[in-house]
Amino acid sequence: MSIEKNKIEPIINSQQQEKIETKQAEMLDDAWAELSQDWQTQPTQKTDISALIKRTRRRTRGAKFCFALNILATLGLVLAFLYGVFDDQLGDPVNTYIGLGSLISLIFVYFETKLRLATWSQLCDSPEKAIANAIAGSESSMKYMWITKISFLPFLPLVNWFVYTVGQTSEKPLLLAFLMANGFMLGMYAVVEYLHRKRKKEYQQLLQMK
Amino acid sequence: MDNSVELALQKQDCFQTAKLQLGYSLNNQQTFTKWISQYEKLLRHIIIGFEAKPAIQEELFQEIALNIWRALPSFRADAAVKTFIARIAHNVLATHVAKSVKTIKTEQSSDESSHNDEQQCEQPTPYQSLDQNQRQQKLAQAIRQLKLEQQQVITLALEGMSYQEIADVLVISTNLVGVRLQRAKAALMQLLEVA
Repeated sequence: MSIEKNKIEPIINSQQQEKIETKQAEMLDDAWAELSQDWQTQPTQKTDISALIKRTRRRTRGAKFCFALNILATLGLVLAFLYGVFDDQLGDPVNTYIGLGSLISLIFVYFETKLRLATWSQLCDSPEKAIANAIAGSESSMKYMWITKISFLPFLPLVNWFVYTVGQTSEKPLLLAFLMANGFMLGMYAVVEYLHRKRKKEYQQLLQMK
Repeated sequence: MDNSVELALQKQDCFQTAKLQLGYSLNNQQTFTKWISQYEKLLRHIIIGFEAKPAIQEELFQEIALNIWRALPSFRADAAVKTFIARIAHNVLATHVAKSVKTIKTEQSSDESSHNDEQQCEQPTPYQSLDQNQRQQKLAQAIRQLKLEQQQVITLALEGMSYQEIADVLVISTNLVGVRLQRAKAALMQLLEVA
């Protein structure tokens, strides 16, 4: 009698367990159906599509224009340098200044092109890679900031040397020119430093998410 | 004589190129308008599942629209538009979540929603007893509390997408979709206490 009871009890228990599980699954399905309905009937605002197209076009053109302007400015600097060297009218200080300026500008354009191409190629990437892509983008951006900061090292003496050399032939006070040039450089450095710190913070946050 | 013929041919070539580019651009614009009109609701719903603030929601919508516009030329006709659009949206949103973890998880969407939340805290009623507007807000809030990978599958599943469609959007296997969705559902139900 007790042996039979021992045999029957697990069967009853498993049947009960199955019933409970089925009921739970049914309840979950009902709840899910209700959630889906709630989700899909959420009110959303209507988009003015023609205004959206205008804005989207403007943003795309704006980005392309800025990029094209950078390339044109670099080309202009290179051409001015070549003109200065071959025509020999601008003088050594200007030639040296423009020459180094165009070289640094070329490096920046190269990095910017790389950054933009990478961003554009990741638009349809897997969302699984989104964070990895954002980390890579953040790293490139930080490298760009670092190069900008490093570029101040050759630029600072160059600017001062340029102001000094040009000042020799001018009657205007040298001190004011030095103050203005160095003040501008310092301001630029402060902006780049601020952006660099912001990117670093963002980078740390992204790493935590990975 | 030869020069004039060449010039005419060149002009014709230029005209043809301009016409093609204009046609392509107009075609893109039409496609973009069609897609946005068709999937606007889907996009807005997905965004609500990731971001609470209406102003940032709008910014994200515009960012997604911009990325769709940029990615339009790379769209292949054999892929499903819905999958293509949802993938771009999830790309933008995953990056957004990763960059602003703190603001999304902790801040309230607006004065109105915080008022509703207070009401919900005061009345510990089950999910079903709330009115539809409250339920929708509570649901969106609960989804925003999930892990990123769970948010991704749940927002797509709630839109009625199949395992295969979700797998196509997130570029993962259907098995993984199943596992993630099961966990996400359990976590969501726990947050909502509906089951």
